[in-house]
Amino acid sequence: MVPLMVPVRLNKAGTYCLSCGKDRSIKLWNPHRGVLIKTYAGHGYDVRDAAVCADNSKFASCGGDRQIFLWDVASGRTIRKFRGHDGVVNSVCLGPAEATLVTGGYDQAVRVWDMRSRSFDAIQTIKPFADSVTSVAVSHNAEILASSVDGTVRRFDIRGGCMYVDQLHAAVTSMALSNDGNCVLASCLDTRLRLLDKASGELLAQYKGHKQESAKMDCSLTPSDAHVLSGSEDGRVCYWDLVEETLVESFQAHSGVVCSLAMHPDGNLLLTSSTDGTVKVWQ
Amino acid sequence: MASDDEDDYIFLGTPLQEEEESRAGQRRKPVNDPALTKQLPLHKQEVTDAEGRRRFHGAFTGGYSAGYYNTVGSLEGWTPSTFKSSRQDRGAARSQKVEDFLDEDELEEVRKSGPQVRAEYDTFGSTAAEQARRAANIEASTRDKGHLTFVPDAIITPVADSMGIRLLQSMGWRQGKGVGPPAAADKPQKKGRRWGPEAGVIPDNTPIYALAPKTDQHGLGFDPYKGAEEFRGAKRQRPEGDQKAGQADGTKKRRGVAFGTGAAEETDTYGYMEDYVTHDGQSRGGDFNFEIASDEEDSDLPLARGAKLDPQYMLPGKATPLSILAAGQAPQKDIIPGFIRAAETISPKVYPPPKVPASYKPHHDFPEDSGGVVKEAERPAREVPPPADLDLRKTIEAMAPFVARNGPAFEAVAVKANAKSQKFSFLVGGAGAEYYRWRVQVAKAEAKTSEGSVAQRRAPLSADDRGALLGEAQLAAAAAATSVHAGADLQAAGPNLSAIADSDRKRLQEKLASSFASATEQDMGFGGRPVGLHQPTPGPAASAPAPPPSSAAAAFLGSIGGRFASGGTFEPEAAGGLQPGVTAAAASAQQDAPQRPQRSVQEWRPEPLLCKRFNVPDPFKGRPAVPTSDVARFMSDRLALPDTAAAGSTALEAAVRPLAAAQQLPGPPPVLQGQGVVPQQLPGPPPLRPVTTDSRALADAFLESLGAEDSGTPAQGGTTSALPPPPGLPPPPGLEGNAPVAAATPFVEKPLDLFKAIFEDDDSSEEDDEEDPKAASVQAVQNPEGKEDELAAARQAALAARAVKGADQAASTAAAAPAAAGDATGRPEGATEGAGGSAVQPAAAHSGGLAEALERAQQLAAEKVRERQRAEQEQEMMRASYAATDAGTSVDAAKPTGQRGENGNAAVSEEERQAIERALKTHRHSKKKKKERDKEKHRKAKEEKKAKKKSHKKSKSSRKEEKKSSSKRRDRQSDTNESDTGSDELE
Repeated sequence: MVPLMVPVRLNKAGTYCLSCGKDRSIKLWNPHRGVLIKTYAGHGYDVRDAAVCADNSKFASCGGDRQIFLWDVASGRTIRKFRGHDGVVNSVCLGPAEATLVTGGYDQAVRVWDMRSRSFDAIQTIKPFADSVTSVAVSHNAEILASSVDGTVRRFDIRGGCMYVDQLHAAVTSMALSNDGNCVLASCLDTRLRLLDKASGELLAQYKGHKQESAKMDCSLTPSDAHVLSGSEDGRVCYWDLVEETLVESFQAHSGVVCSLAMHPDGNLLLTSSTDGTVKVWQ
Repeated sequence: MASDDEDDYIFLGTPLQEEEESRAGQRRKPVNDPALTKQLPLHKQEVTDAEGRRRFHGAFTGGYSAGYYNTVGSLEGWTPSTFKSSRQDRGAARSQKVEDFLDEDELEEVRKSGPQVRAEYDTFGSTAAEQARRAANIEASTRDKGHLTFVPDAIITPVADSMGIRLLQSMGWRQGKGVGPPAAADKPQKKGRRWGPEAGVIPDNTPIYALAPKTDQHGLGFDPYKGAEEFRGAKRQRPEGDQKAGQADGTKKRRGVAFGTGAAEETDTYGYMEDYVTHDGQSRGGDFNFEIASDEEDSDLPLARGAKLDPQYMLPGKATPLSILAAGQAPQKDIIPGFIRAAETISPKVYPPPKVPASYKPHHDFPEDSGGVVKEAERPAREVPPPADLDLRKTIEAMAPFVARNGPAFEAVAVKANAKSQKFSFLVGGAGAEYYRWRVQVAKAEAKTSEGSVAQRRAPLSADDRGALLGEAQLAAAAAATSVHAGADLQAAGPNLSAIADSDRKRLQEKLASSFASATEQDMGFGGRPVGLHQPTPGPAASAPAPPPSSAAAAFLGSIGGRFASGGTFEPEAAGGLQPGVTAAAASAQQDAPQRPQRSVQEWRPEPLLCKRFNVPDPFKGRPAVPTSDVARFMSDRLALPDTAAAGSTALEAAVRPLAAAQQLPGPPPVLQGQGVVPQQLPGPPPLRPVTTDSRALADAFLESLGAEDSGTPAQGGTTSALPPPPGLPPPPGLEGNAPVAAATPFVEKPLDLFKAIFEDDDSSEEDDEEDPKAASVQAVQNPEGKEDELAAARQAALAARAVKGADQAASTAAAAPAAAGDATGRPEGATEGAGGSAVQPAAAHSGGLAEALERAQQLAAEKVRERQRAEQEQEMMRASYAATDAGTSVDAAKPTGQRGENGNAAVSEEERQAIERALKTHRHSKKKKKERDKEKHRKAKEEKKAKKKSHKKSKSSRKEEKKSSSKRRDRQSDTNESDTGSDELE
């Protein structure tokens, strides 16, 4: 089964959300009222991920057409296109001060793009991965994190000039940074979510109870870092207590695989998207 | 009155401009030469009238130009056809036809609806033939060009009827009619009618069925209109309708090319998507919805068209999906026309795959070769301690691989050959037989893993495996490094392996660990795994690296064991921690609980720009891109074992003659004889210390001497202060090998090549002005005079050579030296000129040995040069006449010089020498630059001239008699010039 990717992303303030989908378009919604505001079409294949700038004027998206688009939110036009990935681009995220764009893709590479200059080439291509890069993240203190199907979560410390490789022995489908920036939550294909200490690489906790065998599903932490969230292939959304590792709550959200989660920054709103083509807002 | 009249009129508004003036603004450009305008592309050609105004015809249909600026005629006006006398060809009276006066499109119309003979009056069938041809043309043009067209028909039109047609015609056939007997009338004919039998009707022409070429992209035989005949009809009607429309257009006499597409012209995209997109007749046009659009668009689109929303025709993915055979739900009429619901659904019967018996093994077990030895070999290997006797052990280890490779036959031969030898008693069960059996077994296992499994190999060959297969000898150092796996064993292995110094081994271990991938690491990659999201196997670490490395490692280690002649401690079971069984066990133990995350840290180098963008200082700023410590230009640099070599050499030194080291040349490293294999296979270590000092001193001395040569030669070349040593090579550095000697002669001087020193351009003497004889002479005077004797010989040779080379100077100049004879040193000018002047004097012969030598040189030179001389004589004279201003001085000075030379030519050798010096110097200077050379030539010519003059004045006995006489006249002419200029200069 080809997992349908319907990522949903909230902007920083949580006022709008973007849903990307198989239909090659990105849709801007108001999740509070359920209003479709705008549709951004331009990708040639499915859209895999999107990242919104802090001022809500631009957002970046990436997709199966191996391209990364930078969109103007108001006009709906592409401002820039970044080309260079040799495969599907799985994940995109914005660097500090939105000076860079970090992307990771099926070509086993993380690329860092320059948003300040108009250069066509990536600033740096990081290719130590042995398999597809599933998600990338940038931490506050100048670190690039990337998870890969080769079972590793790699942290590239720019300040220190080091690469920390955490071999988890299972393909990592997605990865999330905790809000305090000290932990890394990795969703692995062996039906476990692993919480790692970012600094030491120590395994802090494992979360089980959901179903994950083949799909790429997002994981997330609540804004208070009290709970760990993940979708499940049977359509449930599962909550774990971060410290206790116990499944606190799970509810049937969708009929299909819950492939993406986005938590509102105030913690009251949860957006889930599923392969059934719907985005649901939970309060 | 007039003014009153004007006052009466009140002007309101602005007066109208005259038309001409207003038109003047529109004048765009003067009338262009039509030839020029025709070169422009069509869309830029403009039609203007004689005044340059643009004539725009048919503005709403695109405009057209008629004739020549809207006239019938040409640039010259309307010219009727020129008169042509028809007297010669009266018979061929030219008949004017209507077509001659018709436009192209008029002709087209005529052609379309031209007068035609009706079939029943078409006696000769010409009209029918014409029609047929036209129809064929039309048909060919409408047909798809990609398909078969009757190109020859289109190009070649028959001029005359073919023979067959003529025959047919003679038989009563007419074109346009069929072949065959006239069909009988419907009524039965009566024989005896009044008008004879009724003429039958000639059968119609057999229609030519041009097979319709396949222009669509359907599969063969697929008929999209099957069951929907109305659409087929619609499609068939359309082209006809279009044709009709076109004809209707033609009758409207549409002219020119319209902008865009007119209402009557339709882009015929209608038929293309017809098969895929259903549409109703009213809404034709370009509004096809090819895309799978969003739901709301889809839902309102058909409504906007005013068509009823028919769920059948919705495309898949829309709100109402296409559901055809939802059994029982859809009534018959909802099914797409052309489809009928299947009466019964056939589900293919699926048979389960055969069950694999539990005892099935996926690989085939080949029966082993028969033979007792092999039977033994099948037993599990049990290690046997090697015999105490080292020689015996060596023999066994050499023998075993052969036996393993060549089979028991070889063993039998060996047994037979060595039956008497006590040494080979292990073959027949003597001492060490057990160990021998075991060795054979090991060697066989090794051969099997390395050779037999090529086809079944699961992992790509590593370099080690390949080397083992090919029988390549491993670098001993590499082997040493890799065999450190079993470090303790090797330590205990005996004297040969411990010959590698510990420090070397440690270093090699480090280097090689980073250079070579070990067998276990090689299979850790994800090359074999599918890329992407995949289902990990329960024990990833256990499954991935297990089988191949074990075999590879066994082969590799086995090969190592084979290579080392005395590797008695080699134990395959204990081979360096590569124990698959243990690994598997550990892995299975880990299977239940997932593995803990493992962290590793590597250096990672962010780009400087990345650091800048992340607002972070570059952690690698200032540091080189690659750690330099690890960079070795050659692999062999890393494999060198300097310490080992040093140790070996010291041992050697201690053992063998102590003096040998001092005398030994740097070169091949010391060979450790009989001390094991390792140092022999090594690349040469750096030369040992004591030897190095010697050789380095030598080399330094040599290099220094070379440097001294380079710098010293030019300085010494011009002066006569130092004499070159006897020509010879500097002492060869290596051979004598005596450091003190080499050090004593650090400045080895190159033998002074006089010829080169004299005749080659010498930069060091450039500062001299060769035009100034004073300077030259002063230098000559300053020369130390003590060493003339030694110089003499060299100078003679130099002079001779110079005489040969300086062709223009010829013999007279070459003998310049004696000229100075009577000259006082205080008068350098005179001395210089005297060099030229006294050349002709026979008195020169008096001046001792030097003069004789010069005389000889002169003669030699004269012989050689004489041929060229003649050719150059004229040229020389020209130059002489062209002589520069300073010649004047010489003219003046010549007289006293000559006089004195006459008096005191009792050959003062010193003065001669000086003269020679000057001559040499001036000549050398003459070679400096081209420009200066020219001037020098002038000067030489001047000298020559003076000499001639002198001789002319004194006597006619010179050998240059003819030359002088020939140049006399010119000399005089130039003399006058020179005297003028010379007087100026003197002032």
